Amino acid sequence: MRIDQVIAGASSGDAVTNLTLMLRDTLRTVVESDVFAGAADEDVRHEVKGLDALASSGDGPVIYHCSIGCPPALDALARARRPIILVYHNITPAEFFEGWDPSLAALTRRGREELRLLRPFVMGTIADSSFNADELLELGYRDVEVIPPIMNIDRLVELPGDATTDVRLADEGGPLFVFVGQLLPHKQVHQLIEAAHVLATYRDWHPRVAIIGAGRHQGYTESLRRLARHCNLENVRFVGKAPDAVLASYLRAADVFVTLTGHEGFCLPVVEAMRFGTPVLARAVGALPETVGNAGLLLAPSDGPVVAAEAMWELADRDRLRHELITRGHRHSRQFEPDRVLTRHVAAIEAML
Amino acid sequence: MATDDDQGSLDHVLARIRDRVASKRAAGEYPPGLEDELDRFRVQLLSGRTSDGALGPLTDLIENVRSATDFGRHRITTDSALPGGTKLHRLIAKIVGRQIDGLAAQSHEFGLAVVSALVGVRESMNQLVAGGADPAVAMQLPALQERIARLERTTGIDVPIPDDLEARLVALEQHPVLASLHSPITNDAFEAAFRGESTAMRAHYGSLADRLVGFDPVLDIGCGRGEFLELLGERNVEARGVELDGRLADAARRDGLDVVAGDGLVDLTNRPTESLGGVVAIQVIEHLTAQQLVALAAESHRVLRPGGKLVVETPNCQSVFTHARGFWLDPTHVRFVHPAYLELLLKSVGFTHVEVSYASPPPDDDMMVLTGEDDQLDENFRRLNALLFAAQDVQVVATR
Repeated sequence: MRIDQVIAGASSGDAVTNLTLMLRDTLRTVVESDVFAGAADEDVRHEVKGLDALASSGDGPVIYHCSIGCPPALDALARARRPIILVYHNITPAEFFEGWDPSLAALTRRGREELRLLRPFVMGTIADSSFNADELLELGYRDVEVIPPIMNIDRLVELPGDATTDVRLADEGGPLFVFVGQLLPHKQVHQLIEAAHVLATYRDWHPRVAIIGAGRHQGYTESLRRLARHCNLENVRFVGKAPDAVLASYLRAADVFVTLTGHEGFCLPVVEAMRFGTPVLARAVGALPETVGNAGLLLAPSDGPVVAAEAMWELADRDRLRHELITRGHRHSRQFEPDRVLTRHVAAIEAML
Repeated sequence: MATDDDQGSLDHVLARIRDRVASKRAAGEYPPGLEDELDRFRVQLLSGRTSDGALGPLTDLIENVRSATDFGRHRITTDSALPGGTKLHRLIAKIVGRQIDGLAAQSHEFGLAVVSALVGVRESMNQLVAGGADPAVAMQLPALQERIARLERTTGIDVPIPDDLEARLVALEQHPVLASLHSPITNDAFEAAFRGESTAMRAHYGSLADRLVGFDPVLDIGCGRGEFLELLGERNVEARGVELDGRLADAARRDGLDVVAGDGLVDLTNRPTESLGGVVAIQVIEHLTAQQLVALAAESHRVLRPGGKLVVETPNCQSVFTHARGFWLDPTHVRFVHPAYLELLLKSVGFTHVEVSYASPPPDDDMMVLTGEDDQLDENFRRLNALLFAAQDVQVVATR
């Protein structure tokens, strides 16, 4: 018996790649299991196989992880004629990329079309969040199991920080806000910069704001830098794609984790921040009300950068509120511990067979 | 697990934050329109929208052309399936070899020229749309589109009245500016009849004349009797007028003004490039055809120095009062010119900055009188007043 998995692309540090490999390792304790990817970065290439190899790899169900359109993956699934289990991690709506990146917008539209195409051939469906499940139900899927994504939430907490970063952050002193995520338009990183601008201009308060994550779109990344430069925000720092040790240093030193995103299918960094005991400020969009629960401050979608700025001040300043959120964060994040989540995945997959 | 009470306490925190923002707004600590300002600012700075993807097809095209520029004999096959065919082909190739090489060299040269032209096109497009270049240029495109769309939507009464119009009306109330202020019929007798109004007229145009101080020499197209030239003279601005009506030109000259009889547009066209500091066209463009108006705009831009001003006044087509009472009194009026179109035109010929303002409100006693009792009714009256009795004139100052 084999249970294989298919993903569009594999890269280190990518949440979907990580969870696929963790699930593979668990599956391998009982069945044969491999991961097939449409593309793979050099450093994870040894972990995965190409999509061409799927058809000849044997029988048994294939778990397809969907987070973007991937025509080659669909072709490979069609050729393999194996039963499909869909795990839906959410596809960002195309409108967030319209005008920025037409090809990415087209790929996300294609992704939704693929979900429609796949439906008749899917034997079981898992979604990361109720928000994601609702999207599938709207597309005609039934019996969607909601299980949080598999993630090693303590991976970073257990790491020692990067020594240089630790020293630097300690030397600088002062409040530190940290955002972690890919720099893409739907993450609305520009609103964070605007909030920093409001704090600097109308509160004369200049906390450090660290923006950590890979620049996935050159135009957007450059625009963010330009925005920060034009606002004279020397305290806003673009860290880029950080090694785990550096990320751990920042999250450990952070006073508040903040994301003013416009769309999320889950948002793993929120859970990681909770494990570090960092209060979370986020926005009630997509799956965030589920991921954050009552353990973080959730702004309304309509709250602009001014309200966000005041909330940042509140969270950095009020000790009782901070302690309350830190306690709740620890408690809330336990439900995402990998052992529990993996067990639920395996049970769900078993029930589908 | 978190309870409902937990959520309640966080809701309370959020409510406190929003209240604080509201009270700071009320106290002026957060200025009104802050979000709008941030929005505008962001739109301007997030202009790096065009990714490489948008110019990707052009890049591919350039690469295709580049790879096809390897002209030469070596790409012509001499193989043949026929017996002895290959030998024959090679012989022919050898005979015409020099000619082929010559043609190949020319083709190669042409290909490189095409590639270089395409690269130039790509650079220009990059300049135009990429964020790094000039956000102002990229910003103008949606603004122009919006303005064109607005013009298309405009049906005559569905015209937005500027927000500050009411304030302007109040400010102008003390001026007894009458509907008849601007002589609709440009003949000597008619003009003479209005000499008594010159005080009001001077007040009306004084601020426009102020705008031209330091911008000599100025050309006043359709200067009439030369009132505006007088105002410029008082401000030590060197100015000359051109007037189509010979009798008016004579009268102006008798008053010691530098006025010639002739067609202002022709005069403008004959002037050297960047030779003027100011061009004035007061109550003129409504006498022009659409094509003449375009010529006036383009020629003014050409003859003005960088920074020079074009000053235009024309009846306001957004005022029903003007349509009904004033405009068609003058049989030589050809058309109204909508200020939005005028602004679009001036910017499209190259003026960098265009200010539009409104002048000459209709007399108060023509307006609907508010009841002072029924708020609903009065609000409706105010709306009708704003629509029917919008200012009679549009003034435009464009900077080259």
